[in-house]
Amino acid sequence: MISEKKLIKQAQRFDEHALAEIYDRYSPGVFRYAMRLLGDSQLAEDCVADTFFRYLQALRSGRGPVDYLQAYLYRIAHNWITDTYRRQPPPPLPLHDEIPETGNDPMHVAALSSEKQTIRHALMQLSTDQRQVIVLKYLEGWENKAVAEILQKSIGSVKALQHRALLALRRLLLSEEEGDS
Amino acid sequence: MKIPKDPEIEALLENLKDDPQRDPRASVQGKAKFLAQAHALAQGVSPQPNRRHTGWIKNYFERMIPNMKTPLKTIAWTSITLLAVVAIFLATNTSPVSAQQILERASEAQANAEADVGILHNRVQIYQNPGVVEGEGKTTITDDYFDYTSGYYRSETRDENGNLISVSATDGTYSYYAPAVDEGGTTVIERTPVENDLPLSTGTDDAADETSAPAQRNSVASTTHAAFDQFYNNPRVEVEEEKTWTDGSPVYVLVNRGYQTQKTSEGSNDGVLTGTTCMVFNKETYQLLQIETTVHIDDKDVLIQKVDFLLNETLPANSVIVWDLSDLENVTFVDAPQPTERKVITDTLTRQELAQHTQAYVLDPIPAGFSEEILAIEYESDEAYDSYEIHYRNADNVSFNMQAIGALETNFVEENFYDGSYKTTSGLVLYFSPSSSENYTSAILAAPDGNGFLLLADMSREEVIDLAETLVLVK
Repeated sequence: MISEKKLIKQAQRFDEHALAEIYDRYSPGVFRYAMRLLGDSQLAEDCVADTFFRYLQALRSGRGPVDYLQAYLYRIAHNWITDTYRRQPPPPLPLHDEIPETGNDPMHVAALSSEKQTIRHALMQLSTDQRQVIVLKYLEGWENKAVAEILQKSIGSVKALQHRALLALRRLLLSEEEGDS
Repeated sequence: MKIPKDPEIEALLENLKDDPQRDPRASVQGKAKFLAQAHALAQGVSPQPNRRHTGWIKNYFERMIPNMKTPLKTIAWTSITLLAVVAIFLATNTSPVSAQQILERASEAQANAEADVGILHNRVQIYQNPGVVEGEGKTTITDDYFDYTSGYYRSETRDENGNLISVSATDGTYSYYAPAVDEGGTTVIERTPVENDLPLSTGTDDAADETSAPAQRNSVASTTHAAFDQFYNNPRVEVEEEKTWTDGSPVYVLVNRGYQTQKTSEGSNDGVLTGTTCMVFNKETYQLLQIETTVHIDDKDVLIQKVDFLLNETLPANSVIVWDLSDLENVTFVDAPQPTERKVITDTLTRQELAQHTQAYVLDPIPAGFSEEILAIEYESDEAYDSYEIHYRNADNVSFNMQAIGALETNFVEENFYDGSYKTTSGLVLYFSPSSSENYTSAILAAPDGNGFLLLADMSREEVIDLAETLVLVK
């Protein structure tokens, strides 16, 4: 497989083959990332399209990344998602008392869907950096080092962000429930 | 720092971890749209700092191949870039013995010559003979300026009599671009605000330094080095005997002779000279002096392009360059139109469906382990053209791709895909790009009816030749 650095160099010359390879390699991950945060396949496709278009615009102006292309694309996608939520925040949804069991029961499916929306909404109330740490670490399974590269912060800072993000999520998702009990 | 676990939160987050399925059709269409956007941007690209050494290339394309399809332009641009990037090489070493050593030392010299401050000034003279008629052709002179500190840029091209032909620039606020001077003598310069291309979200500081001047220089360096690497790795470049330049200084001449080969009945390859590209370096300074391309027709060598690198200097940082082009006479500035986004529609076709629409070539048989996908592409815009792509891909992601690009312009392949050619027994001709490498081949496939196909494959040239012998007209 051709190295990322070589791909980036070829893409800077608008080499079609390299650009196609970049799309094939990274768009599934960007889509998955967007889908998990947005929960809407059409919006996620829009996010992918805009992410890659902005990358082309950066290339056109002689800019764009010289390494860590994946991190760069995720950063664009993340900003796109953040702006989308700012423009049109979803209505807050109550957290269900219990996480439904798996199954095809329509009630369970609907409940699970609401559950996801609630979690996404909570994620969107975190700071940008906190949210990226949580999504990349817990949903995408990235190591701290890779997350640090995306955020352009030290690994120690990433850990601190993670700690604060978990506390914030607990407050947002569980405090009401705990208070009720 | 140890992060305490929070099982409850982690369990909630697990709900979002199921792998969302992506509609394959949306994925394919997204890719096609992305590539179409790339074509459009590459075509309408405003001159930017990373083009500063190659301003003549843009003019070349605009005048020489105005009707070529955008993918082809992109690839050809890349090919020519390989020659242009070495225009700024300077060095002090001597005693090379091979083309690779000359190029290697020139590359080292380039790195040493990179300036941090000041204004780079290049002057390039270009002779072009698109009609391939001996003694005819036109000459232009292009002056490029680039400020290392601010990233500002200016390029103007004039004819032999000093008349302005085209101009482009950026002053940090706007990019300016005038593709051509109209016959009335008035130049309309399109002006586009310079954008912060990094899509920062409001309230975040992500990657805020991406647009800094050092980042631009970094990009420039990586671009030029990548292009040079490709030329350096071309085993078909040879050193001709040492010669003397017009000013009496000793020079090296690197030669890339293009041959069209064809398998003989005995199975060996028979080659016929089709053209030559020469690069001339100063023996002492390694400065690139000239690139010359000839085609071999009727036992004669006809010059079709010559590029003379007349000047390469770094001016003091306080030199006065009018970046906003306000010094030009008879010009009008207008806001550039917003680029129209082209919708792309793709359809998967069978061979039979493809045959009903057009004359197309497919691999027969499909290589073992490969799958075949035929995509029809329709671009919705004023400049719409329909195309189709045929993709072959195996489990290791090795691909052999062809895209129909329409009628080939005269002389195009000779100038841009000049790194040898191969004629199949069925009469198809592969013209190879010098940007190919050991495991990657870029070529134009020319059909007997004059239509061309852009061919890109993760394969060696020999493997591509073998596959090309199995191309048949689809029925």
